[in-house]
Amino acid sequence: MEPNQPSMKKYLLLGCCLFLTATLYGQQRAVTGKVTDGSDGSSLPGVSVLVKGTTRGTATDATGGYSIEAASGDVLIFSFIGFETQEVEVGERTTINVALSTSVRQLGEIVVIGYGEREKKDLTGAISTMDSDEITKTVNMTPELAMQGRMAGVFVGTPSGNPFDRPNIQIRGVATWGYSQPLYVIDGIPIIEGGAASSWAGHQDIRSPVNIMATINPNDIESISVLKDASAAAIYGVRASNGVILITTKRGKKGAPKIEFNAQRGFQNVPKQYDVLNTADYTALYQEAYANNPDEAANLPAEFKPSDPAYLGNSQTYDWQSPLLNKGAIIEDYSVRVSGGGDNTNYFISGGYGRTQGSIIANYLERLTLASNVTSKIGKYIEAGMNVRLGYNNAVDNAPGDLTYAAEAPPWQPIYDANDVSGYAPSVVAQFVENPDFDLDLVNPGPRYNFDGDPQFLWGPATRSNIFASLKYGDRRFNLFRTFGNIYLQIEPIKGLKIKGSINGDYYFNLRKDWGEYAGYRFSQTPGNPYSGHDGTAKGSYGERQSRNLNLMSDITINYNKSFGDHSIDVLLSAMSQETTWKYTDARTGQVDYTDPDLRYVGNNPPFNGTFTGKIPQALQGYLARASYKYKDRYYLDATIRRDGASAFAPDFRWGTFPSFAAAWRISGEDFFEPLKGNIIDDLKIRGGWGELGNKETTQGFAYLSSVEGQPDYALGSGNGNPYGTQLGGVRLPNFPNFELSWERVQTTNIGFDAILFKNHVTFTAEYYNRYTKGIIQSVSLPPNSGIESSTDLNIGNVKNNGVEIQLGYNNTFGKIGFNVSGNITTVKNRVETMFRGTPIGGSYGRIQEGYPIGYLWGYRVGGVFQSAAEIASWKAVNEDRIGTNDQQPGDMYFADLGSTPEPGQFSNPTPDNIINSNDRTYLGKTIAGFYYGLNLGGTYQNFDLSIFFQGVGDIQKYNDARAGGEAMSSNGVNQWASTLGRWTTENPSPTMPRAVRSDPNENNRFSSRFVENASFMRLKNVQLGYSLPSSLLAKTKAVQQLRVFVSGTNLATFTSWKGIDPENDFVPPLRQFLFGINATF
Amino acid sequence: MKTTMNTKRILTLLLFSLLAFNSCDESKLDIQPGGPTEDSYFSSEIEFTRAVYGIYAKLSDFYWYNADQNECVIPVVYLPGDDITTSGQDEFEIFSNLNPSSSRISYFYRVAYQLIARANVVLQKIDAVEDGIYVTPGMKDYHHGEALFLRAFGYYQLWNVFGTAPLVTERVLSLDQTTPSNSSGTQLLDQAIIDLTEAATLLPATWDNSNRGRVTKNSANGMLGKCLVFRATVAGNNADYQAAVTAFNNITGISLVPAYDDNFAADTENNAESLFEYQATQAFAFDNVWLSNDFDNAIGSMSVFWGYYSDAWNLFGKAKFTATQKLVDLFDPADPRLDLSLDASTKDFKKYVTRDVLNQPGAASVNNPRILRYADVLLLKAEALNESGGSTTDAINLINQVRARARGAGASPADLSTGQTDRNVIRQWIMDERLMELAGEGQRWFDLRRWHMGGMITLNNAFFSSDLPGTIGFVPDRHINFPIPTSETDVNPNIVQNNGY
Repeated sequence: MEPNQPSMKKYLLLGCCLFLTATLYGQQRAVTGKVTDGSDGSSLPGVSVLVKGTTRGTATDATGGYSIEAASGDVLIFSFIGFETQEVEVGERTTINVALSTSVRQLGEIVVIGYGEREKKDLTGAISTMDSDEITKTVNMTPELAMQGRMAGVFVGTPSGNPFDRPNIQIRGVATWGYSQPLYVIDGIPIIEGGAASSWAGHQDIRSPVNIMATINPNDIESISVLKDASAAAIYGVRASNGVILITTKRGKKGAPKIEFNAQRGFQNVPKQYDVLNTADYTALYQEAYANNPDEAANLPAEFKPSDPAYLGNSQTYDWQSPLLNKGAIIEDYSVRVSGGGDNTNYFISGGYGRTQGSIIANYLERLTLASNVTSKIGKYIEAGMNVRLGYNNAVDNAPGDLTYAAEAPPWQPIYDANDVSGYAPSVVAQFVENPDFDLDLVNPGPRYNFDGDPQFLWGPATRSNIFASLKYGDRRFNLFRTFGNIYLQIEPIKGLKIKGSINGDYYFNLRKDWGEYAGYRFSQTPGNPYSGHDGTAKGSYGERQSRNLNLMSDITINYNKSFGDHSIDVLLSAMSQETTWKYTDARTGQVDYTDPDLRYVGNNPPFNGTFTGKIPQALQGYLARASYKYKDRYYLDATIRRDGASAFAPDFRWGTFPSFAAAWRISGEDFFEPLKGNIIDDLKIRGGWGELGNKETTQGFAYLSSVEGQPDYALGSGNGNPYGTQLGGVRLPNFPNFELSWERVQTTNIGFDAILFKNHVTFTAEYYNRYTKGIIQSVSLPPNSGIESSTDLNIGNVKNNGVEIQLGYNNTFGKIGFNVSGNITTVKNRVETMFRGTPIGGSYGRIQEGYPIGYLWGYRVGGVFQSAAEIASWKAVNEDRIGTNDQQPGDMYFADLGSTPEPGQFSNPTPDNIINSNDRTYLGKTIAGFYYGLNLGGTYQNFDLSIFFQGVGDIQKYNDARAGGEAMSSNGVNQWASTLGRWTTENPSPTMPRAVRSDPNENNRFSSRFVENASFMRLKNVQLGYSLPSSLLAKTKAVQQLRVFVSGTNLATFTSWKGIDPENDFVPPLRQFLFGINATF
Repeated sequence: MKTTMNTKRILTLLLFSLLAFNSCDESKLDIQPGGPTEDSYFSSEIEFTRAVYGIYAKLSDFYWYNADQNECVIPVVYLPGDDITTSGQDEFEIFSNLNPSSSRISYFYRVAYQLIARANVVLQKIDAVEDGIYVTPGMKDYHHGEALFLRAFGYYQLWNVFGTAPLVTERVLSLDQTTPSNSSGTQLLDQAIIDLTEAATLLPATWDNSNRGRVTKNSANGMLGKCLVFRATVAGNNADYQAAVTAFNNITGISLVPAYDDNFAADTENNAESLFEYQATQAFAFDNVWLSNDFDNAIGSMSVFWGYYSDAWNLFGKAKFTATQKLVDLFDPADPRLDLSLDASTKDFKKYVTRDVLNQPGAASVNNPRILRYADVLLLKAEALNESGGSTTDAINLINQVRARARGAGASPADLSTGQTDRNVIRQWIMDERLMELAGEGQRWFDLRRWHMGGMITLNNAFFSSDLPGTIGFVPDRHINFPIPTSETDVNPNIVQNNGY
């Protein structure tokens, strides 16, 4: 050791003293620390740290750590998108750890609007939004369901427990009675789906039951904006009248590569099933029902007669529902995303895989998605980008039936039979005899064998198809492949002027593969001859159907914005052209010689083959202009005009112009408001708008051309021993050329308030809307005397929807506890204002009439149940029922006398006439919800987070079809609900449920208030509990930046008075779902 | 300054490209649908022929299974008469629960007008056809006659079922045409008579074998005479009866077939006795009785449903239709028609069922319903003579022609005495002969209805000899016309519901 060494230490010590002294006197020193997310304690990388008043700054590293030179008098500013900016005085500390709290982002939030984006505070129209955090709260195979209950004004129904069903979406009520689904615009591409708007069942069959939106992975979505009023949606012109849903997918952002990984797995169950009669109660009910009708008593099927050898009343009871329901149906979803960017280029790559099973066995959906986008600056003025999205769906559509079908099976009919070669119990038994006329040389060779006598039902006349056997004998699946993308080039020749051209494409290919094995006929309620349609030796029939939809759009957009002092302007001009062609090809054969799935193909086997193809094209062009003006962040004006042309209409009615205007006044921007700020009101805005939109989707188009259809056939030439003749192709003209059809127009007025209150803790938005639809296109079934066979598209009516939307949120932190609650409610008053010639349309399930809401329930009003012959006699002394036989017995129902024969030219006459007939049908309920709402409760405590979400619908009635079948008590042996044990009998004179009687001579089952129920409900839609691993732990991994695990439950409880399985779907009920998931960022 | 120039240049360029982008494309909106349209159709004879086949094809809807044993409309015409009954509580058997919401009533009404509309389209197009389109001599007239005949059949059906249904003689081309008011009296029959009179001048005497089943001059004269007799019955006018006789006399080359049951056999369709049949067949791939003829060429149903007689499996527990005791009792037990028509012990019908050919699924039949056959014509002619003061001997001889064929080589039914001059007795003979000869062929209700309207008989509950005597609730003022369906009255303010509904 050198003697100097201690002195070295001294110097060092001295140096430190000096340094400290210097620091005390404002000298620079290194300050280090860590920035975390106040809500969960996770580290926050990329937080900007700036010394106030200087340009000195840094950003936190991957573990949230930072180091910066600062003096004791300095103030450090920590800022990060999505968090409240925090300022901290350095003082004498050298370590400063900061927990940033999530910002109340309302003000700075960027909202995607049509053809651009805008800060929320600058909005003038009615736009609801949700971001990826909310979208991924629930796990769905399709993005629409993520919107359920989350946004004011947007109603998303649960279609069913079938994973590929399409949700029904209503934005501010129902503006038309045709196709009322909103327009989807995904990354700027308006989606047109072939056949979507067609009311013809054939088109719907070719379209397939698989929702094409399920090819979009919800995890890839950055935000969803819903344009609700005309001023917001006018930019989409003719297709926007039902609202526009803008889906923006995730993009790469400048910065180091970021890897996100999500994994979820769970299981699902249907929480309820029907309570139906057992064999003994069932037998008793039908014995009683036949006995109650003297005319039909002799027709009591042998299966119900104890004295008959065929009697089945002593059989055991078989439960058809449990085996049909998918117990513990799997749901899982995995996705990974990589994104990042440099100075000039941003990129994003994503891959996902998900699969789920439906509530009914054998339905299954699998999804594989890939997406990628890249944007690049080329030189100073040019930007180019590309966005590609690939989706593959495998949808297995083998659900053999719905829950109601299973519930209605005779309880004595078994499902399984170990002695049968199939393992299943047959429904029928049949014998065959050789067909002497069978001749393979004929165009129509006939079947090789004919039924020898009729097939015999084994379980009575109500024998059901043993649907479970169809799993063995049939297979139907869809493979959907979708390519979706766009490229664009943008030039910014001078600052603020952007010219952008893009080409967008959306192509999907849907392949249906359909197999049916002839041996399955024994399990059918309607057995076909298994020897027909082939040479008598084939094993089954097979068909492939392709549906191909090509949607091509090009557009050019010019955008200029500039600020001059306090004035800002923003002008947009655009032109677009879109062409869509939907084509389909179907090929099938009755001659497949093998059952092996690998050997199924359509061979060239005339005459046993069938094919058809079809094509439905459409084209659309539009020009638009939008001008926006802003003064001092206080006064806003927006004006939009769009002109659209659509091929769907006759040349003279092809082009339409759609204007809109909106204005807003941000009162809180005024000087006089300044003193109020920070106390109660932080921000306040009033806005209003008016606009007109179009809807062309309610017509299939070409109404002016009148199609010639080639389906009807007639046979000529039979006789002289030939019973068949020759089948000849005829044609029909199902409609007439209608030249006058034009757009539906929706005029919307919107007035809204936006407020932020109590130091940004409370947000409040209230809006009043009034949508008036003019010239609604309706596919009208013209009065039958016209002989017009298909419904005719006509502009026939006007409808008004008005209501209020309120959205209220509260967000605060109490120590370690973060708490937020937000709710939204929308009211809808729907009223048909005028109809063509005042003529109502539609039947009992959905009548459309002036002065009533669209699609109201229309039928007889129940008066009560006759308890005695004396009561009947006194009723009949005054009244006569001309719907039933008017031979009422105790236990039959009576119905209210509410009208009489209308005067000529009228459709109703409210004067009673003591005759119960079709003039007494009346309003029984409305099928459009009067209000709907969502309520979200959220909380955080240290690393835990919890959210509880309720969704509900109120003021809505539905006809309970399942109950109408389950309590009809008049059929030939369809199983009934256990509630029928309370039916009227002399021993149990029920005041509400009539007697059981075969054939229902009194028409107790007529469409009446008896089966109309309140369909309101509130669901505990989702509960999610998450835990984020502390950053201290994660820091040690040196890779994982964030890791959150969660458990979630969906559809946990439903509060309703609905007497079925589920107020939204009794047939394929929605599922209750439990999930476990991991989200990680690297 | 330079920047401004640049800007201007760029803006000009852009505006220009925008214009270029648009100018080329408005024609893109002129696209055609994937299939043929009316605009381009009717440019060749075969296209007219196909449109005529399309009218015929609509007949299918009156006879097919209609996807449901409770929806098939055969009972609308067949069941109300006193020849057929059922133990099931069917609205067309017991009447009292027959109401305007009946889906079968609605369907029957709708398809009758669709038949008329298809004919009206063809008539409109033929009227406007240019020279040179038709190449086969006479074919334009034949098509014209076929369309008129089939339209008349639609009016005939409507008059007999509804009485007051609107008269539509023009193709609907605008909404103003869609809310007509009721017809009155015999307006529908009047139009049928006009159409059939014209059709008889246009149609060919016969068709070649490959066109067997298309209507001929004889078909038109037969239907014309029938409609005239119907009108005469309710209006009581002699001129119509006499005109009917004239029309019947214009029928040539038609004769009773020796074997009575050849009229109900699948392999002897369109025989010498036949004037008009629905040409039931088996759709070429698979006759799916759950899908209508209009659904699809390969599988849309083209068959007829005789399952109510055969107690087919696809009645699904609905009671079958049987013969009334009244019908059984009316036959001389030795009359061969009794055993060919039905089983006297079970009262099950045998007509159409015994010599039947089922379609491929075995759910329906290809055995043509005989809508008009010569025996019917002979009896109508006898009736016309008897009612109009014509020769009673001639009338009785006509009945005897039918009886002679019926007995074949046997002894019963014996000839009726030609010495009978009491026209009331002869009338009863004709009524009884019609019941026996045409039992189960869907003729009886229309006969009963017109006779009642003409005051020749009185329909009451006892008359029908139903298996459900306690329940039958026939009210003549109400049930003589079936209700106009609510599908019409709910949307047509000018229509008035028939009496009593």
